[in-house]
Amino acid sequence: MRIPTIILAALAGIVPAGAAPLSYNRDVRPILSENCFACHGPDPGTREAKLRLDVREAALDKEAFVPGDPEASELVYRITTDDEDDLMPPPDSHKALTPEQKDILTRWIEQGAPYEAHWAYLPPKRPPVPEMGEAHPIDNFILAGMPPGNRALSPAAEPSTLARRLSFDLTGLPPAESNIGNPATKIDSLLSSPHFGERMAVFWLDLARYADTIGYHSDEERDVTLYRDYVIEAFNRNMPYDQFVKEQLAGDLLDDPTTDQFIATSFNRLNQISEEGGIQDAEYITKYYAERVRTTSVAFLGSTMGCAECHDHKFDPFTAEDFYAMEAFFADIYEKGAYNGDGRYNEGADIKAYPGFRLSQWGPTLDIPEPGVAEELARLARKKKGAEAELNRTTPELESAFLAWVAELKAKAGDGTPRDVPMLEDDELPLGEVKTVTENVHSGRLARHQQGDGVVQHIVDTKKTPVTVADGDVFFAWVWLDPADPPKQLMLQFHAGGKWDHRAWWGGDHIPFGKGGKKGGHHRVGDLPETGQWVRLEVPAAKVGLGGGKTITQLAYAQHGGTVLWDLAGRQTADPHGVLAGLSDPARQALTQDGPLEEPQKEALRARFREVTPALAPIRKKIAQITAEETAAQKRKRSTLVTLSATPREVRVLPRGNWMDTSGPVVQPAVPGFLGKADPASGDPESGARLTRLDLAEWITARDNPLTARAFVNRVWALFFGTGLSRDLQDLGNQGQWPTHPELLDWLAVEFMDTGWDVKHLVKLIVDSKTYQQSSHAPADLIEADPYNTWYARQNPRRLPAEFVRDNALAVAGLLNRTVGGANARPYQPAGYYRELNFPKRKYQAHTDDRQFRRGLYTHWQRSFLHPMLMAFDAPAREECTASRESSNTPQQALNLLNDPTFVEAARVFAARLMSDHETFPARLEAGFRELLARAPTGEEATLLTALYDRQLGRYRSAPGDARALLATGIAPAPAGLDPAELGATTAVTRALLNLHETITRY
Amino acid sequence: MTPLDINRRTFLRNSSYSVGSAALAWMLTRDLQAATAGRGVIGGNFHYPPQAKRVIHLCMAGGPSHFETLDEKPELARLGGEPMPESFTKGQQLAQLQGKRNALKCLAPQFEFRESGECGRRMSTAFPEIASIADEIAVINSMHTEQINHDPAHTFMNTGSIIPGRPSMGSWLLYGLGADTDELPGFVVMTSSGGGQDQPIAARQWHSGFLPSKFQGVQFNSKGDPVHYVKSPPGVTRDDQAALLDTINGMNRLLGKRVNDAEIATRISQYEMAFKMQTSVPGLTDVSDEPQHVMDLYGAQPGDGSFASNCLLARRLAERGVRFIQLYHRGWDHHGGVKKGIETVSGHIDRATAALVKDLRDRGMLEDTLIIWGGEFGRTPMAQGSGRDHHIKAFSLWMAGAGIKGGTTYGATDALGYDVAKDPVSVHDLHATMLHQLGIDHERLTYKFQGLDFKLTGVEKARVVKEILA
Repeated sequence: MRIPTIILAALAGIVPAGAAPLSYNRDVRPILSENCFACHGPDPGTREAKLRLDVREAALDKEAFVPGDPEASELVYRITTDDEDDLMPPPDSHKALTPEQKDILTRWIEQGAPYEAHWAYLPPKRPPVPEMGEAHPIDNFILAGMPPGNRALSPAAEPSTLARRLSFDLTGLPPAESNIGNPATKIDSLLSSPHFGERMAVFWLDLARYADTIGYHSDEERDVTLYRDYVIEAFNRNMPYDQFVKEQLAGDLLDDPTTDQFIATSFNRLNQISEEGGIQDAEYITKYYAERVRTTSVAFLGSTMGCAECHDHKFDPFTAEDFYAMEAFFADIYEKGAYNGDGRYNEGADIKAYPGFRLSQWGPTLDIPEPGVAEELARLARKKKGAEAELNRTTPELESAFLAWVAELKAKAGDGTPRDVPMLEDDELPLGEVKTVTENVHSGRLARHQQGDGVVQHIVDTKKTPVTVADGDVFFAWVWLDPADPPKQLMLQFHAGGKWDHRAWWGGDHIPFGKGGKKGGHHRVGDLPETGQWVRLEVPAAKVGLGGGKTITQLAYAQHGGTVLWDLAGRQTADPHGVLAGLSDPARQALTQDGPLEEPQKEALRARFREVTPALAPIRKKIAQITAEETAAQKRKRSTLVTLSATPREVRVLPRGNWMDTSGPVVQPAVPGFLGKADPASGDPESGARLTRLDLAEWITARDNPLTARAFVNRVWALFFGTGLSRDLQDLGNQGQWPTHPELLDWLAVEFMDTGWDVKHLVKLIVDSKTYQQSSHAPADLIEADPYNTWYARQNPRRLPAEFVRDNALAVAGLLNRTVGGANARPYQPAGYYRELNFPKRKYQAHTDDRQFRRGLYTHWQRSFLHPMLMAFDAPAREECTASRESSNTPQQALNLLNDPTFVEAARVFAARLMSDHETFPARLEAGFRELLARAPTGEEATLLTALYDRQLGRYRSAPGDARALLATGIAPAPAGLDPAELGATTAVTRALLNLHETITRY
Repeated sequence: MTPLDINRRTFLRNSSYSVGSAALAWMLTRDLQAATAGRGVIGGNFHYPPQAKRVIHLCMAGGPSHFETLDEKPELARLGGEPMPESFTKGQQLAQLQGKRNALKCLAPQFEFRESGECGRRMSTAFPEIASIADEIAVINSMHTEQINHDPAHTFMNTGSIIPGRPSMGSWLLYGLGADTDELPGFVVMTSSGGGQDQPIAARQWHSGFLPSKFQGVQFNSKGDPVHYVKSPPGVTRDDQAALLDTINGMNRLLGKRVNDAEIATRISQYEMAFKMQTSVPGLTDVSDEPQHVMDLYGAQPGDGSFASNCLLARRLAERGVRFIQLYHRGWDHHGGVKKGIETVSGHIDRATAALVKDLRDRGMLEDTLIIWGGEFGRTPMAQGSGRDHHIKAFSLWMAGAGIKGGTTYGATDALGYDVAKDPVSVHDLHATMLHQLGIDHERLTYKFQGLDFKLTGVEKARVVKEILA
């Protein structure tokens, strides 16, 4: 426990520093806001006695106080009285003023009860830099904020400590050894490192609620990794922050947007969505809109508008109408509420009107082919054209073969002999990514390999050429049952007349489809056939309720369990049209009619002839190969969800947030009234044009927006000190925190805007300061005097964020894959961790190549079950916009670092490297310490670790099997020639090192 | 003296320079709250005399039908197969039945109800064992909720809000009361399934939200390691791991001598607890020390991952000082075949549920253990084929133990079980009642986030259901 309970009670006795003039914003507003505004504030819905205290005129109007005369002031009586009926705040509010707070309010009235607008709602002005004799403005501000007589920064941090601090703070990685030198050159090199963007992305992706899954219910995957890479790239290229904001909110509305600007608009689509059965489109649209207002207000404005969804804000002047007017900015987003099939896109929206985009399962999507794919496709198209020309050429030999083929067909069609007519041939097999085999096939080149624990089925669409059944037809299918793994049941299903109600089955009754149904819907033919050989299943069409004239549009192979190969399926029929299956209608007619063929009929037949004649098989094969290559090339792409603008949906104020209540007024897009007005892009405020997301973005990034720069600068400051200048990183509003250094915050905000929203300039400014570079090792009396470091007279030690805890271990081991950007990575994860997921069931496959060792920020971000390591170290699930992470200290973290294979593997690889590079244990220990902590071990530390080494060496010498078991953790290859006992013992030491508090802390 | 054992006088002397004192008080409160995980913010200062020391929430996930469990509706039986009177459903939100709005039919309750216990409450014959504890439980037949789909409805039931990122009730309890164990997590979750389609459950249901993550629920797995990473790596014996832990903590102590960082002491204690968990968790989940008659009482087979096994583990967790134990059984989403579904799910949960109550009673633990049994919503009186759709206007649940007046039935629905007719109980009321039994005034367990005092019970007035209290 950090603070004795007694302190809290003791606060009541704090005496303010002299009787200096009170500041309304600093001293008075927090008291009124905390204790009074809930009932006497902006929300008329809960206002008591019609009194509001947040507006001076309104308070005077109701004679709440008399400026300059506390004795005559009702307010002073109410807060000091002994009469429980009159006392404010009332006892049942469970709020109470401390004597000090009562004193402040009294003296404030005595001083005339001046009000100030809330600091964060006034545009920042650049204050003069105090002259405290320092070169750096930040240091001057910080020194000026310290108590007189105590004005000093701590000494500069040790070079090694500073190197580690800068490297983690600017890149999230441990320092390279060469990088421990002059801080100035180091800062520049770190800022230009591609890992700077990764570090900043970890911060921004929390705000953007970036994740790799949809969040609600089934929590399925959807690919938005291009957006993540856009964020990394934007920080690396030092994109001005105002442009960064505009591109994310409204990149699609910019003039002639670039691909990257469309990718940026994924931002609006990163909200959680649902495809749960039974959800209502309108309800979920409501949820998505409200979430966007919450995210937009917190991420860009540092303001909490969420409360205003149900009622006017109780502490800030946001009204419910402001909330819904903000929603209306997003009403044009091309999307739907229910992604389960019941949802509807915006009225009249048609993806064809947006060339280059497609509708995926999750809405408007942009595909980005990998480099070289376009050229590859063009090359294949040329090749294909040539091959097709070859296929279509005519020679005398082909023409005579054609005439012979026609004559043969005419004869067959007329002789009335039943023949096999395929319904499913090789061409159909690769549908839907099915697994096929080429070794053990019944006919053609392929057979389908179908395997599973329960029901497995494959549906074949015959819609292109529906099959009309004739009387007397018999269906057949060729199967091969694996003797080592036979199924429990086989089933053939036919889709006719819009239903799947025609089934034949063999073996036990396990498959639920049609179970217990009427005869034709569930016809048992007999026992399972022999295993280990190709067998022909047969069932008369009439037995499955399909008489002559019925049309089949789909066919399905089903089995319960086991391994089965399925091949040619079809029907045995005497129907002349059936024999001519595969031909177009005019061609079939031509063959069953008497008389000579006309030229169009001949052309139709020639087309079919080219598809089947063995003479052209080689060229057909060539075309099929080209097509396969085209398909493969088209898959070499990345995709992301994007924002497209469609017809805006109607947005109403929803009373108490109830989506079913349509009694509220319709609202148009507008920014919160008390913060001013956004202008339409036309530039004419009177034009009446509907405001757009771009107008919103322009307003957010306008020079006179009081919140945007402050919110960003405050958070960037927190990245380098652990705390914001205003401590609440979520909210700068009335319930937020009066900044510890308001002038510095404003100075930085103005500097940031004046330099063109230059993020790297801001970061460099901060890390260049003595304030940043000072030691975090403060003497006890300083900690005692300023326990929360509100003076910044020292640095704050900070535990590394989750991602960097991982990166650090992999980096020092030498395992880290430093690729920037790209698809997700799947590190080791406990088996069965996704067992609670469904629709569909999920199986996690950890990567077994170097993707295993990618940086933490690329970890597959499953919102419903975030990777346990990330979760243990306080990474948010990103269901909502998150402005600050907790920094907890838990046993789960210890278990993770101790036993997670990622860290065990890193330890053994680290150990192996130390052994290969250095001869003796002391040398290895020294080197390991330097690489990990940028310092040498002390004598005591060396003694402890050597004792551990000796103990484990003895242990593993006597039980080499245990050493080998430990060293088998993970996929990284073990170097040959190292003694397992020594390596095991060294691994025990590196495990200890990776677990040290110092390792996961930047001082 | 550690650097942060602050001397009151120096603190006061130096603290009022550059920060408003109200802001300082806020910071102090927040850090104080974060710092006292072991005891919780309530400390010993309960708002009411606490009846319960712990809660076991038997979450019947998927939405149990009140018509087949706790709410007998003879009128619905009479109207079985008839059109649902439109007066009930007009303008109301439906889930999957939305598209069939014009052809809604009543589905008769699928099981008889019978007088049970000395209280004589009529209970479903589908759950004979639960009927046998009729006198121990208080039934609420007038629950209602706001969310009609599984995921948000669970979120609402667990956190009192539909906005993700709010703390779950178990996290609130840990924050308020801490845990009575330093060897196990204070908030444990287990899941099982059987009886219907398994709707997914997300870890957000036991997340600590904006509360510090040490208050997060920890899921115990029925397969693999019971807790993630609780097993030492291969080739590392318990003694090896102990030697490693000693070294790590020794190193951290050396660091603590050189550096003023209060987190170091915490880190050392967390490693100690982690090591204890490495022993106590396997000991907890190894039920070989349970006599056969106890295994029979629950109907549990060791390691089968069933609800019955989880109930037995819940008792063992309760004995070891875990504050909030939540068992999900995913088997109640009976859109079709509600009769068969109820029979199956009863086979999974009926006996074990009653066994848990009886076992706790026999051990004298029921008097300070609050049991809550129920789902995220109810089901429609209207048929969805042979099943029922989701329903939020009315549903039932029961509570037992810890000052709950057994044998009571509270609240009532209308003749067709569609809407609450009497004494409505909201999810926030349920939370307020739970907190009350733990000695907490729900208005006074708050946490500052985004500048606001958040509560489990939200901004609307919530009410303790005193009528079911002894």
